[in-house]
Amino acid sequence: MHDHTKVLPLLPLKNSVLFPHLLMPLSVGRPTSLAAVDAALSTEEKEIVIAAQRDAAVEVPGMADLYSVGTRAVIKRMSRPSESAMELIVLGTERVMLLRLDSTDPYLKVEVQPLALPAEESPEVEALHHEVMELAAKAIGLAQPQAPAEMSRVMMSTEDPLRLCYLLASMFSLEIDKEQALLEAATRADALRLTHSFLAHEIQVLEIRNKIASTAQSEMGKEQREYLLRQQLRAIQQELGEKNPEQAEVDMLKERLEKADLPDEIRKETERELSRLEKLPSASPEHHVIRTYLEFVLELPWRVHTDDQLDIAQARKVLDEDHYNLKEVKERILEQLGVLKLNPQAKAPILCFVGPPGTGKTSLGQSIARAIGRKFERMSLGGMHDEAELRGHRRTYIGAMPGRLIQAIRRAGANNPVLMLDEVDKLGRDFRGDPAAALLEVLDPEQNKTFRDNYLDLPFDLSKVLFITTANTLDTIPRPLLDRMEMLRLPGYSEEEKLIIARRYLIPRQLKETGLTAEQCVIGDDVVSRIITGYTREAGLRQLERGIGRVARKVALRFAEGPSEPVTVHPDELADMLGPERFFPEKMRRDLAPGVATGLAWTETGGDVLYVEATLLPESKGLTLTGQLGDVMQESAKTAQSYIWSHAEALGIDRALLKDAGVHIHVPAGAIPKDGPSAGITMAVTLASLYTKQPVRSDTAMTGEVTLTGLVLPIGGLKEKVLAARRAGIKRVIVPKPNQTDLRELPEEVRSEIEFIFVERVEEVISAAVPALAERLSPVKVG
Amino acid sequence: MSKKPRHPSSFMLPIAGPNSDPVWQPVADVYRTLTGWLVKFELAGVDPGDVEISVENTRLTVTGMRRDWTFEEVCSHYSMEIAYNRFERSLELPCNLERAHLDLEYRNGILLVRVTTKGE
Repeated sequence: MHDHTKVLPLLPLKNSVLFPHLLMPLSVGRPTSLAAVDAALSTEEKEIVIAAQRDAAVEVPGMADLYSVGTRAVIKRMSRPSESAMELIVLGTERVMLLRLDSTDPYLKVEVQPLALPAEESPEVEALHHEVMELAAKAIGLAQPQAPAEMSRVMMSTEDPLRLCYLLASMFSLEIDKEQALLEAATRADALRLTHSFLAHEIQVLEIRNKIASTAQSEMGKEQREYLLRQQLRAIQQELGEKNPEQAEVDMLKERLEKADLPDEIRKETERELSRLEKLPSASPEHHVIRTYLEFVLELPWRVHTDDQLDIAQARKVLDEDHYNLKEVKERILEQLGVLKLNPQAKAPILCFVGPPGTGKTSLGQSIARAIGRKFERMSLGGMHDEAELRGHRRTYIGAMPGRLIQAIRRAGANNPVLMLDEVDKLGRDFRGDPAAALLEVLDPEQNKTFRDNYLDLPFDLSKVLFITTANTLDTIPRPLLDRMEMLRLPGYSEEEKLIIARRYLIPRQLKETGLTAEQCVIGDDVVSRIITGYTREAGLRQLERGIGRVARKVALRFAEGPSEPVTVHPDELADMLGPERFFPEKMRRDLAPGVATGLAWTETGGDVLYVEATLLPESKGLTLTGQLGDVMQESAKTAQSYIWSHAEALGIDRALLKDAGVHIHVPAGAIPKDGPSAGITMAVTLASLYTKQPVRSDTAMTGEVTLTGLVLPIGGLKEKVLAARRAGIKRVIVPKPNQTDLRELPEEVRSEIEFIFVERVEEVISAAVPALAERLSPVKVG
Repeated sequence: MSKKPRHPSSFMLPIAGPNSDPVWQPVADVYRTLTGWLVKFELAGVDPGDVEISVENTRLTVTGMRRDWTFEEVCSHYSMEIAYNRFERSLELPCNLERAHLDLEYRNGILLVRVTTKGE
């Protein structure tokens, strides 16, 4: 109709697009826009051009800020809610192309040219039209009730596809760039395609929204349903006269608390916790924590104790049944029984069994519990490095647990059990705390009457508990801890003792394990003896027991393979059963050369014989020491050397030798580290023999510390050393006099077999060991 | 680009009928007469020269333009409710109008269209 251009006032829109054929309410506030509307109203036609701004932030747009396609519109209604604002209803009439700005002051005027869309009819447009109609119906269906029913009716009756597109675009508020693209569409087909794509997107969004909404609704429904069912359950329970489970639980605890025999302080505290529990809803996490705590408190044996079996003869019998020898330990236990008989309130001792592995420390604990009729519990402290593990975590922590000690007491079910703390020498320690320090409190009879576990936070009386700790070595136990314990040594067994133990305990036990009877398999002493010397090197009995077990299994296999005659194992069969012998005990060397002496050493696995060798190094100086000797042993060697040099005349040593030659002392086996002062006298004798070129008696071994003035000081581990000497075939052993009392530990047959020479000075040692020097030294001998 | 708020008032409202042009529609009364029909259109303030009548089969259509003309006295609008610019109104009558005779009269702001179908 209008093919020519026209100049009209321009109303820029910040965030919407007006489509032809549609009404749109507008609020106008910008002064230039107000002026533009005023200008439009003062025409006969009330026409204005409406175009969208590219950027909503621009207040006074130029051509570049406006989309170049806008809509011509007629203002249908106008009112002024205030001086500086207008409300309009505008009706889009046709699409126009903005050609140029005619003027900008006091309002924008723009020259426009109509931009009508060709009315095309093609199968494509028709198909698209149908497709869009379908999608639109679906979208309106999904958007219900948001989209009014009126909308769908209007939409369905719109025949012009272009108008349908405009209507749909306004119905589902789109982003401005999409709306503008639709307005600018060159053909109807384009417009339909655009509408189709945004409808598809809209449907997806709506579907997801509906899904979210329905999920939320169904979740709510589930919770509500559960709540209702619970209410019903409660009502039913009430009808039946039952209590709800939480109340029943609290009542049960209450009942237990009433029945429990608790000290007053504990009862008060427990009742307080119980009343807290009653007030808490069962869903609260605290509820569970308190319940577990109360159950634990009620399970503890606050006043439960076992009556001691005070019949000393009976106790002695039990101890002897289980363990051979170990007189010292057994005596100590029986003493305690005696004390308890006279004074039932006596504090329990804290014992520490020290000895090499496999000497029966742990089983002795069990046996003690059996002998005095107490409960037995053991816990291993090996590798424990968290103080909280011993003393518990405070209840404020999630997953808090009582400490291992209190748990052991609960397991024992009595407040006076025998509690064995194994491997106390292997306690760890790191940033989490020092469990050894926590043990200090536990093991102090003055303090452990009111032991407080962190979890329990109530004082528990540990003073009736008989604590027994075990350790392989005392070196790694902290001093203050060591100080609280009474040491009892389990020094390891001699061959004879091992034989007896094997006969009485190990063989019957291994036969039982393998299912053999004593008649079917006979393992004689000769066999055990061979296992001890050829296949084991230990102070304890573990390897021996394994060896016996292996022999027993080989025999069992023979029986299992077919009927067999009773077997008596012969020592010569051992090579077949256990393989070739593994150990060759250091045998006594015959005819020692000058400069070699026999020493004795203590090791964790028992004792050993070691030969100290020395040789002169002509045209050299000083003392060379080899054989992995520790600092103490090196100093001990220097002391021995100094003593010999200072007494060279008395020994008849040529001074030239001291000047012209150095000395090398070596102690085999070279790969095994050695330390300690107890080889002092051996080195002194070696050097004396070397310088005087007189050989040492090969049947004589010695041990003792030497001082610069020639005194011989006592040493430790005498029993193991003597047993080793005997194994090697030594006949005489030189021992420091103060060690004389230790000989009581030795079995009778050893004492009778070996000749002991007790010495106080080095001269006596040399006299006893090197026959040729005995005469020279006699004048020096004092007293 | 900012997203427009989603509320119903932001919808553009379709006018009158779904297929009509973007124009306003005057209200009309239709009477039967002895000779045919009398149709009244409320068209106040419209210059009769701006009105056009057309017939097509049974349809009678009035189109035209209402122009504002009070500018000499006012300096600006305070509010506006009267619809200006193009209007169009079609009516279906139960007879063929192709050969009917039409008489127009404009009185007191009302356009009277007399349709004579009989007596020819």
